[in-house]
Amino acid sequence: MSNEMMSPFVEGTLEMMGSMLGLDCQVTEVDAELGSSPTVFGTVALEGNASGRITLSLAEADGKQLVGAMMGVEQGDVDEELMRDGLGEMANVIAGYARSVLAGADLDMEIGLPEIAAEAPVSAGGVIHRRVESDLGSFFLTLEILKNDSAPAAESGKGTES
Amino acid sequence: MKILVVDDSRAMRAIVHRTLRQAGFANLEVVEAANGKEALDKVKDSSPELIISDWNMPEMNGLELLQALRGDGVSTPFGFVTSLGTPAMQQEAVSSGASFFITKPFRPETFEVVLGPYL
Repeated sequence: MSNEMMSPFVEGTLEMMGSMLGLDCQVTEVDAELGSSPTVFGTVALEGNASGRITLSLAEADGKQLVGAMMGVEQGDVDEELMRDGLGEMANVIAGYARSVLAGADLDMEIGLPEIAAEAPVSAGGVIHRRVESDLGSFFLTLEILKNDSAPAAESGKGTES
Repeated sequence: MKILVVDDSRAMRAIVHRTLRQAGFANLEVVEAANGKEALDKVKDSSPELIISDWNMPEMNGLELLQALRGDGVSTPFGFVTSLGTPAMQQEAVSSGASFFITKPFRPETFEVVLGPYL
């Protein structure tokens, strides 16, 4: 899978974090397993001539910080249900942004409703991870493309993207 | 002024409400609904003067809500605040009677410019 397909999802993440949370972020490519820190996983399915899913994974404390910032409330005012809801919306916004960008490249994808789980979705391979760090918390952004009938895109280099 | 905010995400309904305040729209009475079906009831009960809706929702999506309202003869200004922003969808929204289309992620400045004529 091309790293280039990941770019719109990273752009969407940066735009969401900047405009809706008021946060600057650092996005870094990571190859390794996500480790044990994420305990909440927000996934949006992608269906079309490319299909797969995008997943945001993080620790609950980071989720409450980030959702609180997005809503303009204190972390203590974000209960678990609201944190899960907010995390799903973050994944939805990122997927929607990427879908709009990829539609301009003739890659048609529908996006599903967000789903939240306590365990990472089982991967069939073809996975790209990014670590997104901000002053209020960090999360992993994972793109898995299971099928891609579109024209192959060029590989991009590894490293820091913002 | 009474407005109806329709989104299946409780967090996003709160964010839209907060962004309205940040955009300088004070003294709004905000009514909320979690999907299109619930919104149809709220329109009958509350008679909002503006409807702001998500697109992708369970039960009844935003486009189906808009089409149902227009089919019932309800002409309340209606617009989308959604993460689904392809030109084809925007065209479909406009041809169904939508007045505006705001894509997520959004900024207060966007709300101020786009919603100003209605609030």
